[in-house]
Amino acid sequence: MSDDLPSSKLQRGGIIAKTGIRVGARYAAHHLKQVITGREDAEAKSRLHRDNATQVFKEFSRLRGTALKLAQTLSLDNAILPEEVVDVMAQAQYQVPPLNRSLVRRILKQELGAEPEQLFARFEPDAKAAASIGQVHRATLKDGTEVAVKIQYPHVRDTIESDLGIARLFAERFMSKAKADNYFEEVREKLLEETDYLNEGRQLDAYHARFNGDKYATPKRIPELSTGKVLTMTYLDGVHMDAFLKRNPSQEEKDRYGQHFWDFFHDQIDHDHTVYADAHPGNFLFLPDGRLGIVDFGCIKKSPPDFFNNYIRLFDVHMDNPERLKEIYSALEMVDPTGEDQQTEAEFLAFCAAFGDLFLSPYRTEIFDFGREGFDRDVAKYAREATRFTEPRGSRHFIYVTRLHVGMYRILMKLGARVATGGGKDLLRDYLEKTGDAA
Amino acid sequence: MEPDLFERRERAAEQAASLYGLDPQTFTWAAWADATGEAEADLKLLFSTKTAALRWFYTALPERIGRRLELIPEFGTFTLAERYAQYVYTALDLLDSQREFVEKTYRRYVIETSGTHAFASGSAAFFRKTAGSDTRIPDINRPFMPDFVFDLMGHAMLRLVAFWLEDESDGSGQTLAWVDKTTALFQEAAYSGVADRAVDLLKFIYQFLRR
Ligand SMILES: Nc1ncnc2c1ncn2[C@@H]1O[C@H](COP(=O)(O)OP(=O)(O)O)[C@@H](O)[C@H]1O
Repeated sequence: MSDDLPSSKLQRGGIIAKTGIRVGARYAAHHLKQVITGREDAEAKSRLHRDNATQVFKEFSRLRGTALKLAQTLSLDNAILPEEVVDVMAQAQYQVPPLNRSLVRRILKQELGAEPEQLFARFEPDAKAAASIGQVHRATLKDGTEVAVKIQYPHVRDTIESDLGIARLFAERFMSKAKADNYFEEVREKLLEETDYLNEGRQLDAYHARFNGDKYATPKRIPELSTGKVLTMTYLDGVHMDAFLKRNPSQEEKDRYGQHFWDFFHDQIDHDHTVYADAHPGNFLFLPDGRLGIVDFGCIKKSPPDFFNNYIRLFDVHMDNPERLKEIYSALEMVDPTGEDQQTEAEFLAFCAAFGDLFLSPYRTEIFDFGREGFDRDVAKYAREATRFTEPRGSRHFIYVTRLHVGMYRILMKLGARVATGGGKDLLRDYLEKTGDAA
Repeated sequence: MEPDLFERRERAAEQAASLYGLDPQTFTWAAWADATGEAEADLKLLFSTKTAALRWFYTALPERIGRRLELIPEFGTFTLAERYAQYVYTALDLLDSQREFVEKTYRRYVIETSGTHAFASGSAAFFRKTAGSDTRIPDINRPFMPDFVFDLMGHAMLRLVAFWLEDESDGSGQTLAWVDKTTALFQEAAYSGVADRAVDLLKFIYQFLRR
C-alpha cells in the first residue's frame, strides 16, 4: 500500500465518519447552492463545475485505497461533486436512503430510554418520509393520538462541519475570503442550529401558539417523547403540493391555498424581525379541510432589526419612493457607494431596481395571478442576469430572509394561484409606519 | 412466570457487575446476596465463585443478546444488515448498562484471555447462522463467504467494543456509523455478489483489527 494513504487511526476514523452519513453533504450543498449562485443559471453552473471538479478530485485522490473505495461504494463522491449535487439536489431530499430499522431502534432507545413497543401503541418501523438530516416515522401514542416522529441521523453535526470545509474550497474560487467567511458563518450557524431538535421544538411551540387555527395547521409537540435528536409531534394528515396538483384541483382550491401562503408570509412581518426561513414545497401540506399545514420549524431566521426593516422598506422604496433606492440598497450591502468601480455599482443598482419592480409587481394589483403567462419566465430571466455580476452580493442575512420570500413566490407560481394582495400590502404599510423611515 | 435458571444467573451477574463497577472492594457475597435478594447459598449454586459471575457477564453475551432479539416483533423481516446491526447494538446496550464495570474489566476478562473468547465465538456463530439462513443471499455468493469470514467478524466484535469504549463522539456516533456502514456493505456484497467488494470488506476488517 502506498505511503501517502492517510493511515493514522485518527484520519481513517475521520474518513469513516464522513462516509458515514452522506446526507449532510447534500444538505449543506443544497443551502450552499443558494448562497453561492442564488440562481439557476446553466452557464454559471457548468463553469463552476469545470473549475471545481478538478479541485475536488485532487482533494479526494488523497483518500486512495480502501478508504476511497469505501467512499465510492457509499457514493459519497456523488454527493460532493457539484454537478451531481446540483442535479441531484432537486429530488435528493426525498431520496435519501432510510436508516436501517435496527439503527432506528437504537436511536430511540438511546434518546428515549426504551424500545418502540414500550413507548408507543404502534410505531411504523419503516420511515414515512426522509427529512434532510433525519427521517420521519408514523406512530400512535398510547392515548390514540397520531404522531410523526422525526429521528436525526447519527453524526450529523460532524458531517456538516467537514462538508462545509470541503464546500468552502469551491466557494473561495469565486468570492473573496472575507465574503466566504461571512456567508459560511451564517450557513454554518443555521445548519448546526437545525441539528438541535430541542430548539426546533421550542420554535414549533411558538409557531403553534401563534398560527395553528383556521388558516394554518402546525403540529403540536409531544415533549415527553422529544429530545435533542428525536422530535415527536402530532401528525398532519395532508399531501405535498405535487400530489395536490396531480389531482387536478379547481382554480378556487388553488387560490385558497395560495392565499394562505401569501398570508403566511405577511402575517410574520411584525414579529420580532423573525421569519420562517424554510419555504420549500416539502415543508407544506395541503390539508383536506382547506388549511395549509406547515411542518419543519428547524430553520427560523431572526434578523438584526436594521437589516430586517430595510428589507421591508424595499417595498416602500419600490412602490412610492424610488429616490431612496440607492440609500436602502446600500444599507443592505447590495451596492457599495464607496467602491472603486462606481460604473459597476450603478449598473447593479439599476439591475436591482428593475428586478425589484418585477418582484413587487404583485402588490400593484388587487388580485395577482401568479400563473400569469411569462411571470415565472421573467423572474428566471432576472435571476440569470444576476450572474453577470461576478461576486455574490448582499448582507448575509439575505440568505434566509429571501429564502422565505422567493420560496413563497416559487410555490405560488407553481400552483398558478390568484392571490388578493391587499391584506399583505396593508400589513407592510402598517409595519413601515410603526418603524419609521430611517435607513 | 418464574424466571428460568438463565434469567436468575443473568440478574445475579448484572448485580455483581454493578457492585464491582461501583467499587471492587464492596463486592462481597453478603452485599451481592443483599442486592439480588437471593440467599448466599443459592448464589453459590448459580456461580461457584464471584469472579465466575463477572466472567459470565461477558461469556453469556451471545445468548443474552439472542434472547433480546427474539422480543423484537419485526425481527423476522429484518435484512441481513439489520440483523447484524441489531446484534451489535444490543451488545452495546447490555455493556453500556454496566459501563463502569466494563471499563474496569473488559481488557482483562475479554481481550486478554487466551484462546478465542466465548463472546467472539458465540458472535461468530450468530453471524454464520444468520447468513446461512438468509434466503436473499444467492447461492453463487456462498463460496465467497467461507467460515473464517465469520470468525473474523466475531473477533471484530471484540475490537469494536474496545473502540466503542474509547468513542467520545456524541452518542457514540462514530461507532454507530461504523457499524451501520460495515453491515450495509457486507449485506451489499452478500446480496449482490460483487466478489471484489467482499474482498475489500475483508481488508477493511483486517485493518480495523490491526488498529
Ligand atoms: N407533523 C408532521 N405531520 C405529517 N408529516 C410530517 C410531519 N412532520 C414531518 N412530516 C413529513 O416529513 C417530511 C420531512 O420533515 P421535515 O420536518 O421537513 O424534516 P427536515 O426539516 O429535516 O427536512 C415532511 O416533508 C413531511 O412530509
